[in-house]
Amino acid sequence: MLKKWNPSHIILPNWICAAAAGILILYGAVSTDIYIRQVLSMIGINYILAAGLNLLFGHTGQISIGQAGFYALGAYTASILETKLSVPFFAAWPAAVILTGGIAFLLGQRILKLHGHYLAMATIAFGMIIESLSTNWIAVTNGHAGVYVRSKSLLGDFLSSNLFALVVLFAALAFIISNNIEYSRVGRAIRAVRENEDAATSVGIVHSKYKVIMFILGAAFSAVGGMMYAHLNGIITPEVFNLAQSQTILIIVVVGGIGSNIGVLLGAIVITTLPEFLYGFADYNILVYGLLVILMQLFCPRGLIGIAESLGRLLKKTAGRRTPPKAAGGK
Amino acid sequence: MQIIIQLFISGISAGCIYGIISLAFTMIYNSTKIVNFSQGSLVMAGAMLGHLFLYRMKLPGLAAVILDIAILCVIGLVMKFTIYDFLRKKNAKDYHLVITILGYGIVIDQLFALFIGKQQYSVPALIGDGSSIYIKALGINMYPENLILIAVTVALIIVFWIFLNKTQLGLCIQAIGFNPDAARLSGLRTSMLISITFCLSCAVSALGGLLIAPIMGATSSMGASLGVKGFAATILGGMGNPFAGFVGGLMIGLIETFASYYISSTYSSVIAYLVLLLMLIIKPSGLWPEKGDR
Repeated sequence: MLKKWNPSHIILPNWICAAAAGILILYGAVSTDIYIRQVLSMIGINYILAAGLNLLFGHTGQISIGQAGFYALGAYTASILETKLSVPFFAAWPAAVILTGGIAFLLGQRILKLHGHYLAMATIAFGMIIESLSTNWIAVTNGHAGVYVRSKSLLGDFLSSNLFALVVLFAALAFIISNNIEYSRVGRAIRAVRENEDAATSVGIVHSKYKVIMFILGAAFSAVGGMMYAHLNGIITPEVFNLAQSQTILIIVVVGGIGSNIGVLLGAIVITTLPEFLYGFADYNILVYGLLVILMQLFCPRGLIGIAESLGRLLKKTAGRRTPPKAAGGK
Repeated sequence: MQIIIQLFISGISAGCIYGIISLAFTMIYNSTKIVNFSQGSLVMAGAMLGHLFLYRMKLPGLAAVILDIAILCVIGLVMKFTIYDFLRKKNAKDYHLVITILGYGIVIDQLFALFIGKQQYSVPALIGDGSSIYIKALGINMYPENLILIAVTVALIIVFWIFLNKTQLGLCIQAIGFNPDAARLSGLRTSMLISITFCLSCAVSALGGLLIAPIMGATSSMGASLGVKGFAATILGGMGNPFAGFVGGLMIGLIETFASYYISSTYSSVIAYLVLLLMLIIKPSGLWPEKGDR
């Protein structure tokens, strides 16, 4: 048993993913239910954010509790460029991603030398700096009043009414990129770094390079999520990008399954729709998240995908128990 | 000149807050190498319980202190059993511990927000009649709360120095931090001693919360920034040395206060976070690193 059976090891052909996205987009286009569209878009955005963190945390083993900082950078850069400087969106969006990636590059080069608790604290500090800046730098961010993003006039009628499709597209893209990275040379290298940094270095993997690349990718994903959020929501305020948001992104990855792309998708679905089920107990929302995280860590540290996996193994076992007598009977 | 002295005093008193949190951080870190990310939430819990006992139930000061410490000790012991006993035995990785502790922080924050409230609450000072009359001396205004805070913090630091270095129990706790296996082999009951450490850290957090609350009020959301600033103090001073953490706290408090007066009051907390980030980048072992550190 060198290789355990794991649903995430099945390479979902990317065309299946594309087909699923297509069906979702069609569904969104046909259905006029704004509520369902809204929930699906939030799942998409949360998935994009969590997929970015999963590349860094799940695959490379470097924790970050400051992803909301990059989320905010993407959202604010894109919307300020579009609304205050009237840059067209096709220029503003890449600019936001590049700026966020650049900041991630400068920061990551320095802080990724830290390990464990220290790295966690450094990223928390980064997130809180960005949050404070977005609250207090009123000349640029309007502080608590927020930046209004009028998607209709900025993106045109077609795009603004089909933003949902765009989110699903980006989410599918995030899934495909994550999957392709996981099964590539880079994916093997970062998993080696996660398991044992010194051993990885000894076989010639420059761990600092891969860590920084994943940090930048994670930040870029968050920036895309931020842009999408800004245009969907119509207004961005600093409260959206606080420490609790960073924690929620981490919770999605942890609950879903650290290092598993399908698991993170599951996590995004569960964590995003959980408040809808707890409707009427809205205050208990975050408490339930917290309890869920503690229980998950104590009893199934591999998350939802770990539960699915052990269920699969159980099924296999019971199926395996049934077959031998049949074979014996045949003889 | 008066302004400078005034700022100096409020800086020192802010620094004492961070010093206390840093002391609570290093207590646990020294014996288990676990960084307690929910330390800020524990201090918040201390402050909110102070509001509950002193303001709503109008208990006498001493009873409130004892109850406050007892409740936080229970939380601390629950954390210790799950994190140290349960997860460590399963050989959980570092990040499992980090995430579980974060989970505790969220749960503590939310429990207090739900059962006490989400607003900012006032907490009367432990000593005095509650009227915040400031003392005027040499043209400087001083609030009694600030003086109590400074006095208690200095006393706490001295008591802990004596406890850790001069008593058998303190030396045992230090021994566990130095080498847990060797400590166990030489007959120390490590699990028991670590429970004591968690309780001590929680007691310090409770006292910290009770001392801070009269000055800055109590809200269920104040944990995160307190925790991060307390950690900034710890990093600035040096991990694994509670007294360096106290000095680090004083430095952060002074930097923050002077910066908010001379540069900009809105960015004062950004400056504390920047100090933390820069310190982590430049010299993560701190100004007075622990012995035997790389």
